[in-house]
Amino acid sequence: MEFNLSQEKVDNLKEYVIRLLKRDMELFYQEFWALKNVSFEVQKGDKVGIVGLNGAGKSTLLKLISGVMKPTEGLLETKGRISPLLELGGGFDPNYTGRENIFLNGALLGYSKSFLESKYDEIVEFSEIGDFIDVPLKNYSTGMMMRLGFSIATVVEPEILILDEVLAVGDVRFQEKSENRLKSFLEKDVTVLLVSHATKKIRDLCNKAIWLEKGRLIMQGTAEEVCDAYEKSTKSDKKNAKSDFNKPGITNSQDLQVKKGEILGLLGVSGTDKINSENPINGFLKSNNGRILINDKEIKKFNDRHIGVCPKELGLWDNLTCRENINLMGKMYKVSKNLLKPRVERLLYDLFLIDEADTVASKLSNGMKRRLNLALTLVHEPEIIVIDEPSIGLDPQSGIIILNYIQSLRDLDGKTVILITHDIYEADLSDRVAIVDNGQILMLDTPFNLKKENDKGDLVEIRLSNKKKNTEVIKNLKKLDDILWVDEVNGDIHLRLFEAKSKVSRLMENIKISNVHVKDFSVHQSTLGDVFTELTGISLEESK
Amino acid sequence: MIIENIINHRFLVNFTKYRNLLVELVKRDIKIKYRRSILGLFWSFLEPLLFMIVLTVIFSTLFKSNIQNYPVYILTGRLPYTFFAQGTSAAMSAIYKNAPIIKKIYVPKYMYIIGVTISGLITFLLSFVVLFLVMFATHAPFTLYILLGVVPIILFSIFIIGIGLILATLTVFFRDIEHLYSVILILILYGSAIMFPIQIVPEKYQFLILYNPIYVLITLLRDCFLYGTLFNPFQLIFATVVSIVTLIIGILIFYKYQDKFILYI
Repeated sequence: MEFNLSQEKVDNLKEYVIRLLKRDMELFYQEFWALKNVSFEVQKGDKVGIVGLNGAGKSTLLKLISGVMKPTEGLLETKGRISPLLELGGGFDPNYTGRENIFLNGALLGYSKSFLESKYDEIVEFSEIGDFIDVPLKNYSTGMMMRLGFSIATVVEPEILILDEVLAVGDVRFQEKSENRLKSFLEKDVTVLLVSHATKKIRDLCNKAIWLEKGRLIMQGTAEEVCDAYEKSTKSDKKNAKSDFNKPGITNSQDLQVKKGEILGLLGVSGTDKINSENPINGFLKSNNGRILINDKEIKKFNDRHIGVCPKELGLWDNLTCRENINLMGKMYKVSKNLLKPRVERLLYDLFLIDEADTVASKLSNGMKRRLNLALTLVHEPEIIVIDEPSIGLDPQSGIIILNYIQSLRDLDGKTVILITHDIYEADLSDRVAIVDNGQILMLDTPFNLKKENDKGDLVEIRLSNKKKNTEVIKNLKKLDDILWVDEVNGDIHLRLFEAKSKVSRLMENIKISNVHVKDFSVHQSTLGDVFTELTGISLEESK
Repeated sequence: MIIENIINHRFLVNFTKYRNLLVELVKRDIKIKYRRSILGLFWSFLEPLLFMIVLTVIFSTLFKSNIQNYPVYILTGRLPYTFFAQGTSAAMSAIYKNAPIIKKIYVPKYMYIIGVTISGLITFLLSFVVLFLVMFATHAPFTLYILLGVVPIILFSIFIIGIGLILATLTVFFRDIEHLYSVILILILYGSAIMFPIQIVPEKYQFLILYNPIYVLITLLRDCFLYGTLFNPFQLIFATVVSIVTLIIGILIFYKYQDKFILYI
């Protein structure tokens, strides 16, 4: 399946004639194969899972099979009634009542009128629309619309079922009902094509699987084989990295390996993270002899164009509008005009700046300025993006927009992101976190493993009604086996133990012996911050 | 064998499968148009009637000698023109207006074009009520030739589907054709001798109107409703050939490019 990816689509006659006269049509044709050389066969009754990262061409494949698109080259044959469950309620008319929409939507799916009449009651009953069936659809809630759409699409037992993720719609109860209906199809002799990111689902439901990557068929075979290989490929990198850095407290001049398409968090204390655009993030490891390698290539060898550094300090042109700011930065990076225009619009849109596109930068709120700053960093589409404390000093909403966008950079565009941060929440987003102090990497692992390996137990804080009894209670508590550590801090009792939540009742009973009431009781599970404190001896709060 | 092949042809199988969709699409067009306005249907009668009255007041003295029943002359021109203008305009936007569905669900795309043409045809047929009322009021003769009116109406529909297929294809690729077309429609309005007799046009330019298929189709209709005569055989053949050729060209163009629509809508 080939797409024309030209940045400026010529969709009006005026442009076309002008281009034709200038003879530069070819310039605007940039081909892109969403799928190429993909051949496979599916037998009746097969349940086929399709795996692959975002952008692998899975949805395009489903669209081709369901007939919405035609292949540019090659042959595609299907036999049997196809039920594509790609879009529920596609083609609903908001001015139509539920009843009328059943007939319209059913007709779109190719059902005859007599068939729909015979199944009408079943559809209405399953959808649980009730008396609303004679109300125009514009008054429906989204849930109701989805329920109706699902009921119509699944009223007939399909011969070939196409699913983009197992659909579960509506409230919890209806989700169960809809999943059960799909499962009943799966048990029968229905041919199923299922796209899913969850390999577990594919193992459970499918007997065969196909693995696509960047439009190419990587592997096909039994579901087990393909899922194993796929999982291995997505995880293998992580294991390699772990073996290098898995000992806590390691301090040497090892290289910092950054993998393509990951978010690497550098969690450190202020003052160690001086960055400058000439030598990004190298300052972070200034006393370290190691190199920073990105996919085995040293960062210094990367062209400036492939790296974008987004500093904490703002570098905006105050008198220019958002759009002009991004445009100017793009021109400085010599992004060609045709590429620049759509890119600017996309950045404005993605970073929720579109409403402010024509506002001058000086009038923007703080959060918007930060977002604009990020847009300036990204306008030349760097492969590697270094961002210094993306959400510092922002309101939660702006912070979330930026952090979500950073994740989408990785997930959708496959960018490599290096996140320099003091914030535990930001660090938690990363695929891997390096804890850095004085230019040394103390530890590098996934946030989950870091927490697990450095777990010193949960912290429990207890405040008693009578502080004079503190020493007596501490004495009693010390007799318990599981308590790792207990002491009096600022008039409260602090103690550490594993799995504190399950042991609350035992603690309480123990305290009761001293004939005293508990005024306040709280349990804190260990965080990345605790790990950091443990390793560096400085708490993140102090460092700020 | 051959018959079996024809019966099993993809086109026919598909058409039978989605026949119900065509009915539903037409129903929706008509229903939505007239829902919640009792006057809806009434307005579509009133509009040509008012148009006729205004023009009659202005022009009837001017062309008195040439046209025997000016109100009927106008209506027999205006009503099919409206059918043509609305039908082709709706067809040209049918593809991209249904883009969300086309992107998600496979349906033969020509269904949308035929759908809007048929709902236009139904509106057109309903407006004949106005024509008959005016004919009655002006004591126009009701002849058996009126039954022959079916022929130009069918030809009109074929012609509109043909033009609609061509325009719909072009509009997917060149969106600004819509603006251009509204100007062309005005040209057609004046180039089809709807409000005036052809005789007032200088003789050396008359051929422009005489070979305009819309004028020819309107004339065929007038033969049945206004003049009560048989068709002029030359005009009948001309209209038939033009309509069918237009339809064939439309189908060829549409089929050649329909698979690319999805990349442009």
